[in-house]
Amino acid sequence: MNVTCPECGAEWELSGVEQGEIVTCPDCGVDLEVLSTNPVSVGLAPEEGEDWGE
Amino acid sequence: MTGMSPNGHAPTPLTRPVRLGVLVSYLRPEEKAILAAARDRGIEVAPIFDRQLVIDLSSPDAPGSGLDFDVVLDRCVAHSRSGYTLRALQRWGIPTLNSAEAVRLCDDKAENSLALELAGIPHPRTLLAFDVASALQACETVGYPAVLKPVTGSWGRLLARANGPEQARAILEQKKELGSFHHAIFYVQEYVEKPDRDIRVYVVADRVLAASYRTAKHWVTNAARGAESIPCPVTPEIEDLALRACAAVGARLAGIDLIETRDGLAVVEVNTGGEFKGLMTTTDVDIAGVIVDEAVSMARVRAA
Ligand SMILES: [Zn+2]
Repeated sequence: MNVTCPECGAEWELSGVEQGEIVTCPDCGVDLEVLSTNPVSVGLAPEEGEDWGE
Repeated sequence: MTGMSPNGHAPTPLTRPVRLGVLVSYLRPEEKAILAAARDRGIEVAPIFDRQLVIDLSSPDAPGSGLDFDVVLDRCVAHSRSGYTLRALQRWGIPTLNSAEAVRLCDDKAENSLALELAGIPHPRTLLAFDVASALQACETVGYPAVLKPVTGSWGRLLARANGPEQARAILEQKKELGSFHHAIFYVQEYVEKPDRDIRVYVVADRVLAASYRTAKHWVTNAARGAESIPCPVTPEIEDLALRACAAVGARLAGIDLIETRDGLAVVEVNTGGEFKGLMTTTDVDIAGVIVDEAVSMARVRAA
């Protein structure tokens, strides 16, 4: 299924993903989050908080 | 399941599949691998997205907060969110892979340093100060270059190396300007001469699963900063230090960062939320599978 990058408008085929998964736009490299899987849609990944880390 | 449950009672086997919750901020390759490993084992597994949680602190049990699990694995990157969630789960008697206390000791670099020092583990000299003037004094004490790190957060963000007092003052003033009180807690560490690499060791339940060298041209070697992973043989010294570091913070699952100093290996930090994406490419060990097996062995035993 095709998704569109909200940052640069690139369109590409994305499958086998789960909701909440982080993917990278193949064109502009921005981190995106899979918002839904049926149909597949993506949005900008959450912004890193100050206390985020491993 | 074998062995004793965390509360010391002999477990009775569950008559239904174990319910494993994986606390996440989002799914990275590590979490995807963990979910897949759990499904392969016939475990009921579900991601728990931190931003969707409404934790009922007044409730005597977990289901009221949608947290009806036998065991929870913390893979959340937002440290304050995981801290509160783990403490609530602890109150409700739900075992977590890594206790709230172990996570607290790892999510704050100053607590981490204290715990490592208390356990007599080689660790770069570290000073803590709460004001620009005293932090400058701390820099003088460790000598230049001095390394300044935020006590919370990781991935090498806001790490700074001050080559002299002027630079140190500029960095410290700038940190203070960031506003959040955390940035006015100055964690000052000696700069240790080392090769352009560090060692990431992965431990699950007193067992070293694998190690890799992370190399980078930049002095901050961190996978999130684009460091490359290559296999590192697990020597007895690596194993001993990694296990001792885990024990020092009470972690059952952790990524330990080691550096090679002139005086031998030293532990930089223990990460309870240790990433292993790099390690997944350098080892045949099924890290996600071992993590899931460990979670199952800790699963709360209750009447189905
Ligand atoms: Zn894009």
